[in-house]
Order: sequence, then structure tokens, then C-alpha cells
Amino acid sequence: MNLNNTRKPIRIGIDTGGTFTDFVVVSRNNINAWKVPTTPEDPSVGIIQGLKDVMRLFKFDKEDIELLIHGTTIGTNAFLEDKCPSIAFITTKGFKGIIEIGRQQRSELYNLKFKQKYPLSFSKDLLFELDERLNSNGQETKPLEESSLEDAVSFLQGRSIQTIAISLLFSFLNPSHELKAANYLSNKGYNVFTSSEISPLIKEYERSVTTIVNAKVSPVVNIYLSKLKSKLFEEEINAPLLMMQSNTGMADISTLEKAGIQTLYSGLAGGVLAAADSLKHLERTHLVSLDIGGTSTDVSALIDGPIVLRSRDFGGFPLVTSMVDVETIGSGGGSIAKYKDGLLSVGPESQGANPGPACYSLEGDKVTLTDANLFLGYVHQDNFAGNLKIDKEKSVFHLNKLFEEIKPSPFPLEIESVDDLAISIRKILNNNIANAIRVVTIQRGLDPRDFSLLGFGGAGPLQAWDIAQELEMGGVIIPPFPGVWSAFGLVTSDIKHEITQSYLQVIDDIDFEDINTKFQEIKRKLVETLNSEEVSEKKQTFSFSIDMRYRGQSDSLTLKVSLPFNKNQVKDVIEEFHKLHNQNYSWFDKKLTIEIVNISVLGVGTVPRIKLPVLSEGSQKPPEESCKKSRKVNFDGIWFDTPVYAKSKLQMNNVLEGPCIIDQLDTTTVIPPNVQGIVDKLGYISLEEKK
Amino acid sequence: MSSRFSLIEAQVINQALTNVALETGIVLQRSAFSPNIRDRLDFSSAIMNQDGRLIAQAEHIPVHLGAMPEGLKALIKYFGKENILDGDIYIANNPYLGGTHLPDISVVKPIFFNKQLVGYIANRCHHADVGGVVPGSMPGGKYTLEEEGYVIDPTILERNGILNQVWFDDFLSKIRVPEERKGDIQAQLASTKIGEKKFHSILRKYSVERVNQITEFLNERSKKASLDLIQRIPENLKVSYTDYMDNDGVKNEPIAITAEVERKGEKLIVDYSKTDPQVEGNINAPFAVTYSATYYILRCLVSREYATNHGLYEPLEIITKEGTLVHPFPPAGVAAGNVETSQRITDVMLGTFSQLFPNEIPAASSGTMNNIIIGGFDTKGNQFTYYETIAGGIGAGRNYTPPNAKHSHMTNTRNTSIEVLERYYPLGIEEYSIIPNSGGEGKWSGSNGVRRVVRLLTKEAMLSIQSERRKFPPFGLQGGKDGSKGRNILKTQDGIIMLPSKVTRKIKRDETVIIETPGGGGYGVYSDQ
Repeated sequence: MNLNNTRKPIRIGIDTGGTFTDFVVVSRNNINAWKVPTTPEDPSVGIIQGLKDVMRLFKFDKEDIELLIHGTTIGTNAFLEDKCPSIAFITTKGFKGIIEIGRQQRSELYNLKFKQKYPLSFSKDLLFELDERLNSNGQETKPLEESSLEDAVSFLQGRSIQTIAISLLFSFLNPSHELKAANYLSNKGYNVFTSSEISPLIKEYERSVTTIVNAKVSPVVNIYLSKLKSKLFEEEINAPLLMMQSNTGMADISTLEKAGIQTLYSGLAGGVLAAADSLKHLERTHLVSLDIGGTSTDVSALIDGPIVLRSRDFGGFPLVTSMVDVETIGSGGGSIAKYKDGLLSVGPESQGANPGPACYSLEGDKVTLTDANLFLGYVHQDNFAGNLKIDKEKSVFHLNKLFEEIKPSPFPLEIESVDDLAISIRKILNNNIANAIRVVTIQRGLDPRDFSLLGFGGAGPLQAWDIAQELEMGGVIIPPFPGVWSAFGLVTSDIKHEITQSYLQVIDDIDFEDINTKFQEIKRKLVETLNSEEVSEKKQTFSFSIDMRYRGQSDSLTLKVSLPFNKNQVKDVIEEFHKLHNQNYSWFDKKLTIEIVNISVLGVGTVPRIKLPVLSEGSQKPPEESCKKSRKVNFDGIWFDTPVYAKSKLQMNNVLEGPCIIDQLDTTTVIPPNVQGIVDKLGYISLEEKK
Repeated sequence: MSSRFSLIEAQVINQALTNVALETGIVLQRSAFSPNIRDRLDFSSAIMNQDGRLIAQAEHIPVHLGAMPEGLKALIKYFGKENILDGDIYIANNPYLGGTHLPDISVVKPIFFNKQLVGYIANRCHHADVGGVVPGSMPGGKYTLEEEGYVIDPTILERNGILNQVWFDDFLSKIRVPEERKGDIQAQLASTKIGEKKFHSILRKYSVERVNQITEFLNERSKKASLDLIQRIPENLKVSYTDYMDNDGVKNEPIAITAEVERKGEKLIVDYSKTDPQVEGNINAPFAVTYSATYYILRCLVSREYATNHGLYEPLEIITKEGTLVHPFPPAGVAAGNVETSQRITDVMLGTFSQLFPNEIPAASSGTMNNIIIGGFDTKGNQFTYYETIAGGIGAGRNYTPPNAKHSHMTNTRNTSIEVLERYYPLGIEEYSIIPNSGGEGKWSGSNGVRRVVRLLTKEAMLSIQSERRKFPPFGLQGGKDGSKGRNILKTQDGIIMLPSKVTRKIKRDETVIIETPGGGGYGVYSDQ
């Protein structure tokens, strides 16, 4: 990857979402954005179309492109919709049931006919057992015979399976059996994934699921990427293509060949990275990113940067691989309002983009958040994304219909008008989102009051202030380009790879030579990867960490260490561990034995930062030409004649007195009465209560 | 404040109260020590109103469902309402005073606001050991309550910030692994205090009157949903069902549990009076357990859109006769009542309700938690206690083919990872598999049970199994076949020994214990077409 020899370096972030594929085109001092409809059958079609569009619109040539960074949900969707090719799962004899048994918990406590989800489809995928065994120290108690592998091959022959996931007991301590099997089967032409490679960590179920998901997703991701790559080649677009990974770092597409699992949160990482960039610019430490789209909302807490977890639940499956901590809920502009037995609810059912909210005139007959916002004047029919015909009358009609349903309620409700109803819909949705923020803050032991809220996505700037009030959060910030902020995040990252490995050892008994050797071995692997991605040595940095816990606990805490790891360091690390434990769980005990659980190395290839364009300097009073219109907007039951500002005309230092509305591209920012917004030099708007 | 309220307030307060229960639960889970609380999530937390009636609950284990309010009711009666003071925190586990079995310890904090009693925050955790004659405090066989473990009558654990050290020291001196118990109980204490803070902040924001008004509204809403359900039952139609426990672990005789169900106006009467008398073996179920198992069926049949609160259960009237298996006199042993008998009570409920709601009610699931405890000393001389419950098959229902190998009804605890288990205990797992065709055949077939094969890798140990459905299989419904029975087998040098449902015995190095759990019952007549 060479980033120096272009005339007019342009970086392009491409974020393929459910409805639109967003493009962010960044050149020196300039940012442009564009949207094309996503082509779900083959998203690369939409991407090529969009690239042609932006070259024409923003007047640059293919040679000007220095880098393409892509966030995709192709693997995620294929897995969740069970559209991945069939695989074979091979494990130790006596244990092929582990995937089906799982953690033996049923999915719902109070459903007599509960359904269970599995990472495998037992009707399509194959299970096979190898007659071998390692004991709990990783020593061989039963060798892996060649004949057992021959049996495997004859079992697989004639069935349309090309991909194999192998997870044998205790392979995280001793990978030799897995490697032997992998070699044998690779030589027979199979595409083999081993658990000791993907996730060398204790607990067979979680490690196996991770390996299976990776084996399922990788082929899908690879086929897609090679298609995209060849289309780019046909178009003679030769700029390097990097993929966004779940760990918020970029990777060359060749490294994903065996690690498709790393793209599961590819499509979500952009928003978090954009928030991380905002964090730096705003010189803050705590930020919650709030990305409200048409059908879903993503929230994530950031402290000095994204929070990346070692393991997390994905669609009901425990994956042990580095993934950003994002909570997604089914609430967005298209969420449907519904009344039943005295309670009003909004979502999680959604009208999506088609038929969409009632106002889309696409035969949608359900009231959605967007309809409520249109009715209340928060958004206006002239400022919508895409070429949709917006019919406000339809919103009014269906809101009235819903109101008629509520009217005869036997309960003493405070919904006495359609105005009340529309306001209620907003409040309920805000409450749902506030709960998601509680998950990423309170449930992680963090206090939401320590965070500011960064609102973006189509509907984020419309709801952010009210949501922040609900959680008493410390201020709201709207980024310069809220509608495409998530795509912008793609162009702000570095290349990142992390390897975590089980290393079970009581801290008093550490063999320093051994642990340092293990660290170096992992580092060597990462150097190889980064070299293969053409990251020059100067730009490679590494950080080392260990996961620790009190012996007997199950959760562990991560602490940074430096190499060589030695006796002197251990003392500090132990101190630090007690402190961190107290922070997280409100207690610590210096008398307890501490053990190391995992060791981990993060390898980073740094990519030069980009700069946002700077606004011209203005005074407190916004320029006159920025406010040419006004409209009626309802705040808490009262209709205000509300000025509407054009974002493109605003200057640094402008103070926008609420109530007011700021229109730009495809998003609207709402500033309620008693609130003011201050524009900074990059176009961020900070909302705060009027003094 | 006006007597009217907004829907939004109802929604928000409902969510906020549930969040208090949830968040106090999370604090508890994170800071607790024993694997049972941390990993297997064997705990619950709840908020009750000033009368001790359930407002909101975060439960992981259905058997705690009815037990929380019953526990509080007994506690208030024990102290007298006028003696409940601000700044008190109580502790209790006596199954005859609202408890379930001794390992389940409750901590309760009354909540005052402006000097007025407004409610209670409570949590209940399964502790790994509370003393008694056998490690794990869940012996199988002829044991009295005192022999099972340390009995805690409702006790003041803390008053005005001062811990009841005398009691705590006595408790810690009479149980195994006191450090762990100390940590867990501290976590339970801390969790109620955090709950109080969160509850106060809701009351400050919305006022006591408003919160009461809305919890009443939510109660009425849930009650109405329950009533809508039971009013589908014709009046004066009495249905009954009897199912059997294999034995009590002392005498090899079945014990009958019988329920008669009938609707009278707005009440659904569930009468267990015809159940067999209490037994010598410790499978007696305190009535709080019986309540939980009965509430469970109603909770399953009413949509989750309606909050879990006392209104939901109000239309139920449960009648038990003292001195029976489902409402024993003290000091009968009850350790297995909570884990085994509770499952059979649920089955009896399925049996009766299937006559009223044939389309909604599935056949019997495994009907046992398959408790296995192996304890002793490892090769280095360290003491160990391995406790596990093993899942089984699930009963099929109309248009429902269930998943294999899952916990059913009264429990939903996780298993222990094989790799973790082998690393920490002197045990080797040789097989953990699904037993093919162990579910009962039917138009929709029941799902399969599990085989777990455990080899002892140290000189000797005590094996304790508490299981059921080794004699009477899980029933099928509407012509579906019964599920397979479970089996407990010991393989020694001398051959194979079939073990009974409940057993406590020594095992030696390299002997293997094979547990095969029952399959689920089938539903509807099977045909080839």
C-alpha cells in the first residue's frame, strides 16, 4: 500500500447499508457525500455505479483515488438469513452434540413452544467425529490415526461440501491434532478452518461456534470481494481496497480470506469510528454515538476511543473474537406505532423503506416515527433522502385513525389530541433508545451522565436532545455531516489485527521466559500479516495485554503490559488489577489469588489522518442569508413559528437560539426552545441549555 | 398532581421499575463469587409494593417466580409490619417461612420514602453450600431440614448500616467455604442498597402517588389478560390429573401428585388436596415451590406483553393440604423438592391444562433436573465439589417439534464447559451427546435427552444423584407416545450397575458414571403418511 504518489489524493469510504450505499469522498479540505440504492443481489453493482457517479459529480479521475475503504454487511446478512454454503463440522469423538446442546439453556423462559437457533443447520451441514483425545494439560491420551482421517474423507466424498470447520477438545493448549487434520484435508482440496487458528481459547462450545461462523461467513465474503475486486479491475480503478473489520481496524482483503468473521460488524464499525474521530476533535473522553436509521438504531459508548470486546453475543451466539461494543435495536424512522389494551408501543416492527412510513405514498398504512415527525413539523416534505414523493396528508390521516382507536380507552389517559399522540410516539421511541444506551453504559458499569451524546444518521439529530434529557447526559453534539457520518468513519481508521490466546497461569507462578516467548510468537504472526498488507515497518506498532481475574471467577479484566514482561512489572499490574476490579465491580480483595487467563497482542499499521474543511469565521449572530424560511413546529404541545437555517450557510461561532431547525443535505437538526446550538470551526453543533 | 396520567408515563415507569430489578440483578451477578450465581445465573431479584405484592421481577429461574412474594409475606408476618424499620436489611432461607430450599438465601430491604414505607427490594440466590451433613447442602435421602444445612429464620442482617456480626460469624462458622459465602452475601446486600437508590430516584421524579397509580394500572392490565384467558374455561367443569414421583430416595414407592382445576366466576381454583402425604426422603416441596410451579403455567399462557406482577396471578386460587408432599410440615427435608418435585408439579399442571387448552399445552418434558454431585479430594489433596444439572428432551405440541437437549420448565441453568470442568476437577468427560430416538413418537415427536459419561480420575469420591423419570416416563399427549425414561449407570471393574433415581454412594478411580436423561413426550398420533 503506497499512499504517496497521487496527484490529488482522494479517499473514498463506501458503506453498504440495507437501503442505501453511502459514499464519502474526501480530498484535501473537502468532503462530499453521495447515496445510491443498494443492490442486494450483488452489492458490487451498486458500488461501481456509485463510484462512477461520484467521479462525474465531484470531478476527479480514477487515478486520483488513493484508497477505497469498504464497510459491508454481506457476511452478516448471509449468516443471519442462513444463506451461507453448507459446511462440515469435525470434533472429538463423543462430542458432536456440543453445538446442538449448546449451554443447554432454552431461548425463552416462559414459552412452552420455544424455538432454538443454531449456528449450523442440522439438515444441510454435516457433523463428523475424529477418534482422538488430549487431556486437560494438552497431552495426547489418544493419538489421531490416519485411518480416522481417511474415514472423514470417505464420509465427505460425494456430498457438496467444500468447507470444513475443525474444533477438537483442548486444541487451544496443543493444536497438533487440529493441524494434522487440517493438513490432511487441505491436501484433499477442502477449505479448512481450525479453532486453534481462529480463537485459541478455553471453552469448547464458544470456540467451536466461533470457528463455525467463520467457516460459514468466509466463503461468502471472499466470493463477494473477488467479484468486487474484478469489477474494480475492469473499471481500471487500481487503488487499494481495504475492508473495515469488527475490531474497528481496516484489513487488506487478502487477510480476510481465512477470517471472514472479522467482517460481521464491518457495517457497524463506521459509525463508531466516526464518533471516535469526533471524540478527538472535540477533545473529550466520553461519548455515546447514536446512529438512528430507517429501521434500526446503533448505540455505542466510547471512552478515549471505541470499546472493543474480546467476546460478545452475535444474534444469540457467543463469539470469541475482537468486536466493537455496539448495541443495535429495531427502532428507527420506520418503526410502527401500535395501540393495544391501554398501552402504546413503537417498534420493533418496522415498515422499512418499502412500503415505508404512511407519508411515503407507497401503500404504507401504518403510523411511524417519521409520520409523527412530519406531522409535528420536525421534518419537512422538501428535505427527505432519495426521490420520494412525500404526502403529509397521509400521515395526518393515519395518525387520526390511530387516535380514534385510543380515544375510547377506559383508562384516564392524557392523549387528548392528535398532537398528543404524535408527541407520545416520539417519547416512546426515545425511551426505547434510552434503554439501549443504558445497556452500553449502566450495564457495563458506566454512568451515562459522564457522556455526551453524538447524534447522527437520518433521524439522530431529530431525537438526540430528548434522549439525552431522559438519561441526564452531559450535552448533545451533532457532527458536520450527520447523514453520512457512518461512511465518514470508514476513512478515519488504521489497519488493525489482534490475536488473543488462552494462557492459564496463577500470577505468582509465571514463567517469564515462556510468557515472553509466547508474546513474541504472536507478534511475529502479526508482523507477517502487516507485511503482507504492505505496511512499512516504520508504521507498525504493537501493544500487549493480559486478561486477569481472581482465581475462581469467570469474567476477566484486561491490563496493558510492555515487553519484556518481568517481575517488576507484575507488581504494578497486580495493583492496577485490584483498582480496575474495584472500579468495575465495587469490590477488591488483595488476599485473593490472581490468575492470568489470556495473553493478547494488537498490531496496528497507521494510516495518515485526514482533515475536515474549516468554516469561515463568523459572529454569534448567524448570517442573514442562512435563515430564509420558517415553519410551524410543535414542542411539548405548543406550536412555535420556528426559523429554519441552512447548514451550508452557517459560520463558525454562530449561536442558534432555539426553537429553530437546521436543514442540510438529507438531515434535519432540531433545537428545542430553551436550548441553543453553537457552531464550531468544523461545523459541529453543540447543543446546550440556554443560560 | 392530576389523577390522569399519560401512556408514556406508564410505559416509562413500567420500564424503569423493571430496570431496577434487572440492574440490581446485574450488580449482584458481577460481584458474586460462586459459579452458581455468576455463571449459571441461579438467582432472581424483585420489587414489591408496601403490601408485599409483586411489582416487577427479573428472574432467571422460574422456580423463584412465586417464591419471592411468598417469602416476603412470611417475613412481614414474622416481624410484624410495625417492626419493619427504615435502614433494616433482612436475611432468610427457612423453607417453612416462605423459602424454597436452604441453599436459596433471600436478602430483603424495606424501602422508605419521606418516612413512609413504599415497598421492598429483594433478591434470592442459590448458594453453593450452606452447611449440613453433605457438601453442596443437597443430600439425597432421609434427612431433616437441620441435617440439610443452616436454617435462617428471618433475621436482621443489618440495621442502620451496622452489620449483625454475631449472627454472620455464627453462620460463617457452620458452613463450608466461608470466604465465598461472605462475598456472595455482601454482594446481595450491596445490590439491595443500589436498588433502593434507583427506586428512590424514580419516586423523586414521578412521586409515590403517581408510581402507585401506574403500578396499579399495570396490575389491572395483567389481571385482565389472565381473566381473559381463564374465562375461556367453562364454569363447573372440573378437570384433574395425577402424575407420580419415582420414589423419595428412601422407600422404593411412587408418590402421587394430584391437582383438580375448576373455574368459579373470576377465580381459577387449583386444588392439590388429593396429593399423597409428605415423605421421609427430602423431596417434599414447600408451598412456595408449589406456588411457583403453578404460577409458571399461567405465565406461559399469558403473553409476555403483560408485565409479571401480582395482578397476573390474582385470578389463581391455590389450595394445598398441610402434611402433603406439596405443603409439608416441618422439619421434613426439602432439598430436592425445589429441583425435582417442582418439575412434577409443573407436569401435573400440563396434564390438567391440556384438557382445557389442548392446542396450547405440549406433552411432558424431561421432568427432572438430573442433579449430579461428585465431591472428595483431588490427587493433590484439595477438596472439590462438582455440581451440575443436565438437560433433557422437551415435550412436543401442536405444530411444535421441540429442540433437543434443553432445560425445561422450572430451571434454565447453564452447563459447565467440558474443558473448564476437566481442568478444575479430577474428572474426565468421555461423552456428551444427544440420545437418538429418545423423544416420544407422535404427529409431532418429543425431543431427545442427553448422555453424559463421567470418569473419576482421583482415588475415590462421593457420588450423589437426584433424578426422576427413571421409572415413570414423561407423558405424551393426544395420542403421542411417552418419552424414554432416563437411566443412571455406574461402570466398575466388575461390570455394570444400574443405579436408582436417587443415590448417594462412594465411587473409585476409573469408574464411570453414565447419566442418560429422559426424552420429551410426543403429541398427536404418529402416522407414516
